[in-house]
Amino acid sequence: MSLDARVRDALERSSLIVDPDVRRDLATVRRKTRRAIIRQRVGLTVLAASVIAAAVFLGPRVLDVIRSQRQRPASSPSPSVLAGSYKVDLSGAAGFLSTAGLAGRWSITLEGDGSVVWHAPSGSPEGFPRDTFQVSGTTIVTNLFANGLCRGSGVGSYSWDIAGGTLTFVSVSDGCDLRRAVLTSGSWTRM
Amino acid sequence: MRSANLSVLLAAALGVSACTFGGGPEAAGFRPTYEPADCSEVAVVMLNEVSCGMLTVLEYHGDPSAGTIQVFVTRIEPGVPRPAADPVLSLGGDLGVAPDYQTLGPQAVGLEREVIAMDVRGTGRSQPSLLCPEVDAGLATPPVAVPVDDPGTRSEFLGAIAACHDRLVSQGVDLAAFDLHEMAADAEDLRQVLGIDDWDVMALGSTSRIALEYLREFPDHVRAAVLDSPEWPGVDPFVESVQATRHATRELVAACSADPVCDRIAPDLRYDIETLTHRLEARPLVADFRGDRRVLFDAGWFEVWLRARLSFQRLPSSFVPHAVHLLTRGSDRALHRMAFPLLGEQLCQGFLPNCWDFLVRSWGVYLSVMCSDVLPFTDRSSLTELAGENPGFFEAYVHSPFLDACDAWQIPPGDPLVATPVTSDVPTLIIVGRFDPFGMLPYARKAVSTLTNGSLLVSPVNGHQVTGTREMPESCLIRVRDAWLDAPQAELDTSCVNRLHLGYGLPPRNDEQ
Repeated sequence: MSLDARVRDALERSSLIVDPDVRRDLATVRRKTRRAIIRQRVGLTVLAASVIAAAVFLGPRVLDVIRSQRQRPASSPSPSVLAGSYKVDLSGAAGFLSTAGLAGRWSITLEGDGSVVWHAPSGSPEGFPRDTFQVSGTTIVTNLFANGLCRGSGVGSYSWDIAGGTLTFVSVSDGCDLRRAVLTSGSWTRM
Repeated sequence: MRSANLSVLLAAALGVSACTFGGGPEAAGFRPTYEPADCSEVAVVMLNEVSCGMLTVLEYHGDPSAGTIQVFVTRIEPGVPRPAADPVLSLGGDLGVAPDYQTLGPQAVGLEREVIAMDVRGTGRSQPSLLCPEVDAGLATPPVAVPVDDPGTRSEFLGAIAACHDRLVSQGVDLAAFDLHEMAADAEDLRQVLGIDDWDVMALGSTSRIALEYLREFPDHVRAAVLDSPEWPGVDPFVESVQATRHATRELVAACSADPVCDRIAPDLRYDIETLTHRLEARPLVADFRGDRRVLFDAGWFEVWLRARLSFQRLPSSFVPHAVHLLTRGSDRALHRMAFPLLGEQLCQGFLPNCWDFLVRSWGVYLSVMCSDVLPFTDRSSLTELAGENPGFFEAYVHSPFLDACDAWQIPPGDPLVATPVTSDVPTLIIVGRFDPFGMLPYARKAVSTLTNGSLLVSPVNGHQVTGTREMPESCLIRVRDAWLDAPQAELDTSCVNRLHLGYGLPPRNDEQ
């Protein structure tokens, strides 16, 4: 057998080995494709169901959070932020307070309903302890002493800060010097 | 293709979401909440067991995009072995005035029911607060030192209201949200969030406007309602200031002439009042007090004084006939005693009911309701004619600075429906004082005609607010009310009322001086 004939014979045998069963392989491909499509559809359905569930149960909450952050005024006026009783010792105060006989120990109670009850040092001019205040953000507006020491002076506006139970006021505007002196001459300690 | 499918699914999901949570009374996903709140300030003035909470509601119940506000609520236990199943919702004293807890405590015991007191939105500890320290601060010139219709007083008063308006608006408060519809809806939110099937509703004075709106909009879960000294939808409080003061004065004259003691003390009470009015118009009396304080007792301030004193009328006695008699005869001592209660830097007594020192008033709430739900829908054209020949009425009420307050408050009119009469078959007890110069009996008689299960209880000894102002639980009219609440369909037992008698010979009590 010539070399050429032997090579041709070997190639023919080899070709028999790799001869594909097209029909069988096509069926296999179709089966695998179908499975892939089913997996994809199931996955998509599960994903859609999850999205629906999330939208139904979480959507309103998310919207509420967004709305609340967007619409609620950050500085809605309310007296309750500062509610509590505070005291200050202005015994060493000079100027207005000393002249008016108001140097000494003071206390105020800021109620959650916006009323102020205050106690002046003993022996100081008596007033009507029925005043009101409003807090918005770091600003407080009050008519403290309006029926007595600050009659006719309207309201005073102050910025406030509270740290470690100590309340301090800084005057923004106030036509009543006595009120400004009482509120700003010392730090008020929570009782 | 795949992304298109996903978009369809997402749209469907959002649609489902909207359908699930939108459209109901809470609108588009919002649920009112109730969280415990600090109660120490309330508990300290009460002997009852109390708990407090903050109800979070929509600022506008129909508009979830408008944000939320908080309403302070106090739950007062009656402390009796077997309280009735239906609690009582108390809406407080007058518009803008927080509930008087010292009064509610003992009354809860008599009611034998839990009392749930709501600080109406904008009032008391509710947030935001519509307090106006600018108005509370009073006026630079005490109003009683000058005629009641003094232009300076008017300008300053309206300026204080405008200043409060501007401050609140700059702080983000929507003043139009504080109307009767929203307040009634808050009450319904509270009922639902607390899981209450049926409850009773109780209101005093002008908060009856909220109670009536609640009956109009949410009647299904109200077992019974009690309205003490109510104001009625569609009634102009300024017109009523003249009508009711005149009516109450007539009642006092009639009661005095029917009482032997009073008839001896002030035999010509009607004549004395007319004479005094015209004399004070021509020659005002001046009462000076310590600290450069002065009361110009002219015809206008006399009417204001008279209205205020009539509103405080209650047992055991009235000193008004005797005081008028003495004033007519020029008693300086009587003048000082009568003028003293007018001292103050505010315009309140004689214009608004219940100007008690111990109550804090949110002027903003009063103004929002008046300017939104009351005054835009009333006819004031008769006011001048009603005042007639009485110069005091002209000064005090025809020229009242309160008439222009809405110009300073600047909010749009509300829903006209709120000003129409309420028709309801909920059992309703209406309590009115014979001498009430703020909510007179003829209006109550007319209003009860649309309340098909309404009952009217008239106190022969009271002015404004019969059961609300520090009255003790054992007093006759409170017992009648409590018994009616146990059986709202039964006939009123008024036997104790018929035995009540107002005296005229005693001096004024300390709190009436």
